[in-house]
Amino acid sequence: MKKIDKHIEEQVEKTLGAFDGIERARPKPFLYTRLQARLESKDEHSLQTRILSPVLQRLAVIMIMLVIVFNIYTATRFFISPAATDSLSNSEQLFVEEYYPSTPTLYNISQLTINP
Amino acid sequence: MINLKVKVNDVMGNTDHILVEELKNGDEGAFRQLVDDYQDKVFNTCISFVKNADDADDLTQEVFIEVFKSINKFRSDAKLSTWIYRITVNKSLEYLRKMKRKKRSAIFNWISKEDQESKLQVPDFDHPGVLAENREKARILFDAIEKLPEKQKIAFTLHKLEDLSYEQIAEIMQKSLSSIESLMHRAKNNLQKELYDYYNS
Repeated sequence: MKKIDKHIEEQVEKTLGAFDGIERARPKPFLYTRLQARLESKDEHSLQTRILSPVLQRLAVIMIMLVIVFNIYTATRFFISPAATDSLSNSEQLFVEEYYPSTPTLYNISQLTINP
Repeated sequence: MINLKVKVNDVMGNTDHILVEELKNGDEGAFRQLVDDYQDKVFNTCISFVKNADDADDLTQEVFIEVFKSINKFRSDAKLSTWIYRITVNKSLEYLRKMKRKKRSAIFNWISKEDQESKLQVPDFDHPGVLAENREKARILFDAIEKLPEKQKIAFTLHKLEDLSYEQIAEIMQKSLSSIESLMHRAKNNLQKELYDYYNS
């Protein structure tokens, strides 16, 4: 039993000394060239993002503005008071008549109040 | 003898100071010199932690890019080598944590099982600088180091594989000399236990 313990101890000590006489590992040749290429590509990438992101930001703002302007335009064009319909063209008047009728239809007859 | 050591340190300090000033001025020649001077130290430290030559090469490049980008933050009163070693250790540990996170998330993702097996299983690692007759034992020792707590692992690796003194390790890890001595003592005890269990099983 003691013999086995001693053998294990020896193995442990030998293993702990496995790094004795170790030499430094060296990188593959031309590290500087590879590093330079990487630095250049990083510069290029950051330059692209620096240029592209403001362009994309501006495009997004323009798109949002266009959507808002379109909404305002359609709202003012079609959702107007009946008094203003006189100034509309025939087709526009037909459109207003169809969607905003001045006389009650079967769909909204239930909402009417009947005077006794 | 002591005077000579002080003089050598003075000369080294001055050389570092000049190099740092040139780097801060964007001198490409100075950067090339820095890479030439430190590439072996950085690569050896990286490979000792990550145990893969390609990843270590990649990390070495990242260390120098970091040095290049943040040289203006470097304080002139600090030692250049200490600063570079600190960046190297941090990058290596960052890489190991990233790999651990990937491994953990891959456990829940059965789709990437194959990828996980091919990428994350640490193969038996042979450090290129280990003597041929010690290769088998070195492999066992590397496996045991892997099981040490992080700070013990850093101290032991820098001392045994990069041959740094306790004083240098204390500067790199920003700890007192006595705490490095204590870390090394605990690391050796833990390794002995780990290896005893290994040979006993």
